Amino acid sequence: MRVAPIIIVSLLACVAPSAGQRTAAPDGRSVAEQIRDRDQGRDARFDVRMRLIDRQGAARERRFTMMLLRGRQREDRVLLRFTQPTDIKGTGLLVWKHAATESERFLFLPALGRVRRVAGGEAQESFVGSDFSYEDIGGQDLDAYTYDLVDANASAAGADGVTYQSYKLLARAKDPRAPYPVTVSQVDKATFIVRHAELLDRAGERRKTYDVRKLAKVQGFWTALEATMATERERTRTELMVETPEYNVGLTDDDFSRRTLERSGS
Amino acid sequence: MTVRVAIAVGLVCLTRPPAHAQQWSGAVSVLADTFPNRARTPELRSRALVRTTIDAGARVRFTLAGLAEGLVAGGEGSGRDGIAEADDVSMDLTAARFDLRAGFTRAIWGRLDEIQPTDVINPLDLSHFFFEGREAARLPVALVRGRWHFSESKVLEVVFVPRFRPGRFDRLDEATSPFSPTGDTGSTTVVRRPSGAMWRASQGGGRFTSSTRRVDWTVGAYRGFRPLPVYRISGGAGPDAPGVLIEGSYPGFTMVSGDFETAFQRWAIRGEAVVSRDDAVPSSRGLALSRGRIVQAGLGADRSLAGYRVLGEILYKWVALDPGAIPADPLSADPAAFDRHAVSAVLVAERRFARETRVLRAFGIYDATARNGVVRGVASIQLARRLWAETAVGWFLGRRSGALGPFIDSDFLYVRLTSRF
Repeated sequence: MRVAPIIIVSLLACVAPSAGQRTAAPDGRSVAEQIRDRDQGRDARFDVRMRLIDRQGAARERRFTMMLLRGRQREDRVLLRFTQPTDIKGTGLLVWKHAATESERFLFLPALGRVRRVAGGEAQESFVGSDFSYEDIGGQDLDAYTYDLVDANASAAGADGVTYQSYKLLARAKDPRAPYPVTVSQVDKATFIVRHAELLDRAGERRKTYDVRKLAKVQGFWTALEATMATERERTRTELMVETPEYNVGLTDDDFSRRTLERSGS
Repeated sequence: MTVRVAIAVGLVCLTRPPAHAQQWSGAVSVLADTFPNRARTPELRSRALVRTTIDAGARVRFTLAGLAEGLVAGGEGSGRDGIAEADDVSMDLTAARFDLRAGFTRAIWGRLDEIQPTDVINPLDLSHFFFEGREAARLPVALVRGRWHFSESKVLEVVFVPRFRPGRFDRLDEATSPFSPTGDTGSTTVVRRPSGAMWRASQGGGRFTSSTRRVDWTVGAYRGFRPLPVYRISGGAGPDAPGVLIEGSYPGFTMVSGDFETAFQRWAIRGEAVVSRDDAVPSSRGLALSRGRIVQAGLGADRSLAGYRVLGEILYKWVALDPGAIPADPLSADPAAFDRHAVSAVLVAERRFARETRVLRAFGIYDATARNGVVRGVASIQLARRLWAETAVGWFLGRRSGALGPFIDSDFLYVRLTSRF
């Protein structure tokens, strides 16, 4: 599961799994499944501020609203709509995740005026010019990667300087054309949130680094309120800040329809 | 009339309770262009678009938009023109399984890019089509659209357009525009619009959309009028002879259509097909008309390739004229020649880089039957938070025939500054 689904997996809240929830010795796949399967509430809504910082330190800001719905049989749905700046305001992305098959993705561009079905194959490409990728934001299929548990008893220092116990997880993309085929993650054992990750390119060199900067409980759910993705070679970084997170707000399937995608962007 | 509508839009906005008002958005742009093959050059085109939406509760939304454009043309035929008109005055009503849109607005059909045989509701402004693309070129029309959502994927849509609005070669000073094919003929041209009782001059149709596995598909039907005029010579032996009259009309058509869209792995595939019965089919040289059936079909695919979004489409057109309906060519008195087949290709490549502050886009159409085409290259750069600069080159090449033939001398170069708010 990579770092990926940063929003879904990491920025989103999670409740620490109860002790003894899984008693068997974990392997890489089971850790990835626990990241995915932990209780994140039935649905959630966030206002997200995204700051794109270039190599000169200049920052541009984008804002979007994100809604998520936990589906039965892991058929989650994600709807994202930009609210600022004006040149992308109204642009929306809808993702229907499927348990056994590739996710379906739909894009609404105000200029186009209609919902368009889009290919999901470019999951690792930049998300609206940021250091995050589409799969970081919209979620990646668990089966797109293989997993190795490198260290079941690791520890790492968080952004607040406090050391946390972690699993060191290595994920390898099955797609040989993926630009970042390997991700090494530090998974917080207490929360099953990916708190730090390094993305390697095809040559095995570190290209991106992901860090959770601020972690807090919201409505009883652990939430990564601030996270950063930095691209080493380009010396750029993108900060994501979750504002006004809300859980279990009563969203339904109708809130994640193509009709809603069109209406919310018009 | 248009100014009055724009003023009315403004008044409506101002009289709304502020608690319901949404944020205003829009853009102001200044475009300087030149046409190397045209005498009337250069031009300065300015444009301001203001738009807002007002939600009156959860189910009703009003959209109000106004547009003002100005033109100052230099060169041999200097001139000025300006328009101010409503760009969108509409209401959307949303219920559990039904929604309604009514007003002066747009309703978009079709799934292909740029060339869409099924996109028949809104006429196009060809100057914007060549400068910016199809999305920017659609003109609003008075319409009522109802949609019944039987389920997430099954939707029945009905559209009624009570009043015909023609397409434009150029909304600014159309008569002498570089995109107007009739501007320099020196002949008298009369263009007749559809007229008569509303049921005769109105347009409308419906379509049903569904999904099978991951393929979204639509079947539909529509009866309307072609948005750009077709011409024939009426009287005289040739276009230069005294007393020559060129008659233009907007022929009626009735079409049955289908389209689909799907995406898998790295590919998105789209297609459209239309079978229409047309009241007037122009000859190859464009000055004689016949009647017949037209089949148009297009298939397109797009994907990401080496950082570029690449899109390719192939379009095929087949014409079957009614028996015995072939007129004489007014210039030669021989039977007029008609293109029975036409094959076109569209290619688009786009790259965004430097965090999407720079965009390169190349767009090309090649008409294999007419042996001509157009290529447009656009480079954009974000200069400041709300300020974009853009330069584009349009190059028409090949013979003076087919749909692109009238524009073969319309090569252009422009630079534009756009501020969005």
